[in-house]
Amino acid sequence: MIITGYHGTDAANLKGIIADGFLESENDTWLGNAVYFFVEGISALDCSADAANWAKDQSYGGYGKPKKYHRYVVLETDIPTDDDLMLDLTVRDGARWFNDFRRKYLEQLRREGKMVQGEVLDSHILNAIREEIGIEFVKGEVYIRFGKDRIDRIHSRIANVTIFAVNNPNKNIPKNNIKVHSKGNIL
Amino acid sequence: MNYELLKQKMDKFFQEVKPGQIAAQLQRMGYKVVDIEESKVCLEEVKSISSLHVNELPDIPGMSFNNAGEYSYAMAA
Repeated sequence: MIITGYHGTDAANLKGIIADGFLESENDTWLGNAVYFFVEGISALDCSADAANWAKDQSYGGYGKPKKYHRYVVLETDIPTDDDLMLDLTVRDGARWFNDFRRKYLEQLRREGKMVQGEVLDSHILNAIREEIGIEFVKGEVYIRFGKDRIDRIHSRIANVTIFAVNNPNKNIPKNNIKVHSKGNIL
Repeated sequence: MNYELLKQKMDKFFQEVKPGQIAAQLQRMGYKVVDIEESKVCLEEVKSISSLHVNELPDIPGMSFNNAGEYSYAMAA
């Protein structure tokens, strides 16, 4: 199956991505360490618009400080996926499988007389799943607090976008599939 | 997604997981992994603050609050 994803970033990264491909980023709040794409799903907007908004938001340098960058780019990429290496959290079986894994993982820890101090993040459980089960594609629905949501003071636990997290980008994202979808200035 | 394959892989992992493997993995991720017995000491300190309302007691991972008003461990069978 081919999934078309949109990745928004600083326009200065374009040359490097086209030449060398994507790099996985560390992510504690979404679906763990991976390359991220917005994909078709529950968003009220076109997913390329989500990617553009994300890229624009990421340019924010802090209150009263200059933007980190002034031009963004949205890259469109066709990603050939392997069902055997995919965890789809947008369907009931996938979400149930994740919950079952997490329950058993932490039960095993307790059986050994141990427990974790602090809160166990989904992203870290997903990283453990990647290591132990060999998953390379995770599709999920999350709530991302875009800049406009911050202005509207929205605090939500209801997902607003569908995202796709890909590991081993050199293997899984063919460089010749990466193309510029749109770009622009950040005001 | 191949759900049947995922289930098989999960079963295989939990059958073959070695003692300490999960604790070590969590520690690599930056978590502090403690002995449950050690955490009981902290729990006693929490319980000793008798003026706290039940709803004000902090969440403790792996613990639940029972009807008798006591924390208890949600231990695996």
